[in-house]
Amino acid sequence: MEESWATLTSYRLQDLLMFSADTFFRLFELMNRRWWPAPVFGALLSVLVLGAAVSRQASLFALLLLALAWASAALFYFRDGFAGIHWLGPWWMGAFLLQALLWLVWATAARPVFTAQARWRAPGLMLVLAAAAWPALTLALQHPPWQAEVVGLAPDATVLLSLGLLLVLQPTRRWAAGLLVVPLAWCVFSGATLSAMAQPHAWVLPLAGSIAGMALLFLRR
Amino acid sequence: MLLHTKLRRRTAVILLTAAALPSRAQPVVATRVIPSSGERIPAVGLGSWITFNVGHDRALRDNCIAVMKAFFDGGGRLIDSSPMYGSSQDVIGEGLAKLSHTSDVFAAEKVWTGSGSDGASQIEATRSLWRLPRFDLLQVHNLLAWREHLATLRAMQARKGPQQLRYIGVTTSHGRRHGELESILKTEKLDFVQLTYNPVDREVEQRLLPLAQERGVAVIVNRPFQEGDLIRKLQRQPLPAWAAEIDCGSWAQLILKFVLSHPAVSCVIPATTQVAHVRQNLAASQGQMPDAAMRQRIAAHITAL
Repeated sequence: MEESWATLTSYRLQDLLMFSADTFFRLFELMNRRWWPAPVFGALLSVLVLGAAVSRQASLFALLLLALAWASAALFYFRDGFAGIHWLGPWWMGAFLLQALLWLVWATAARPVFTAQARWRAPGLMLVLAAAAWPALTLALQHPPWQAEVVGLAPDATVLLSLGLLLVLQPTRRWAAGLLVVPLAWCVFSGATLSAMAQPHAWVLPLAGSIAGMALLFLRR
Repeated sequence: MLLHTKLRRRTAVILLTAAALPSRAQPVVATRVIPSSGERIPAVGLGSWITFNVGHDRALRDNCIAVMKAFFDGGGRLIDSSPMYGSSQDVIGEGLAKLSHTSDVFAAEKVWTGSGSDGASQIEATRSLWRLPRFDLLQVHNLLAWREHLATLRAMQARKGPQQLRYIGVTTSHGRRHGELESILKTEKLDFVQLTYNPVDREVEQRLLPLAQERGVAVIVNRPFQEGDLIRKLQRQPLPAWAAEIDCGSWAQLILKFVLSHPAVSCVIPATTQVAHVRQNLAASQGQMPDAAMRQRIAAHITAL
């Protein structure tokens, strides 16, 4: 029993990493090249969502685009790429497809709208903007441009956009609890993966997830 | 006089080792005996954790196959993998088929499932990924459900025919579960044990390596470079001049010779994505090996850096 506990606590994040950083980031390159010009559409999608959120119009349209982004990330990234290097890939694909469905359910059942009074509107818009600008991260990391992570293809950018949109739309606590499960789980998983690879931006998604989770579940009037 | 004696000794080792190998036009790689059978295997094998988990990336797969080619061309035989290693098994299988080495590879695999009843089906799935009729060695990975899986492996060993399993073993890594491993070594009849050993991870010298020797169990060493961390730390330092006394041209060779010079060690399985490193690693099995004093010197020097 003592040895079992000692064994369990001896594991570091790096011990659980199954692939090299090179293999991981090449997934984005292979995906962008294979599905070109899908990255262009992904970038356009994030700009359209940002535009809807800023102008406080077409919330249903923005959520439909978000659902599309999650479904395409599930298929293009998890099914065709990540599943090849990690046994959780198919599970994440299922989770992202489920989340795409949840966006549609929420959009049609609750019909959320943008309001100027949304308490977390400003931070939400910042996250949406960050998601739209996320492909620029590849330059900061000195990766090849083909490895740019775009909304609708790359899960990090897609989740960041979603957290921002949730803050701007401010669902009820009950809806938020359901809509946040998969995005927050991904924030933890991605943060841990990037941290194990010693990536400088490993903290971004866990922080964004923490802010969104606290704001939408606890810090409510 | 001393240099002349050393050169004569080195030449004798190389010639004797060459005589022990089957007659193929291959460079000489030192071999070690598997105690339970007397079969000899090359002392340097090839690991596949992380390095071969490249998914569907064609360029990276081709690179892995190039590494395998250099490995076989250099006289290597033993390749080690596991169901835990993602797509590594499939990449190895593709490489073996493309390189036409399905008959001379020493295929070392693992069973890795918490369910004893799933072991056989997992092994069969693994075998089809390797595209081989059978494995040479099957090991219980990280001692997971070892009692149940050893029973399965023994049954496979007992089964005659072209799919008969030749060797069975267990593995640990990172210095974990050594107490349990010691108990298993004392009570179970095994052909192989795999564990972590290198100049800074030396716990196994105390009990496990002598016990393996005493029990006639071949030892495969994993993580000789701590998945590259050890090499990365050492690369910032100049290789000591005395490394040339034991024919070492790199930190990797110094580490591998330290490992291989322990009398209990049968094979070490460094993993790499570089053809040049495969060749360096294989070359570490040749030439002068450190004696006890030099082994201490290597360990002390590396630990101090």
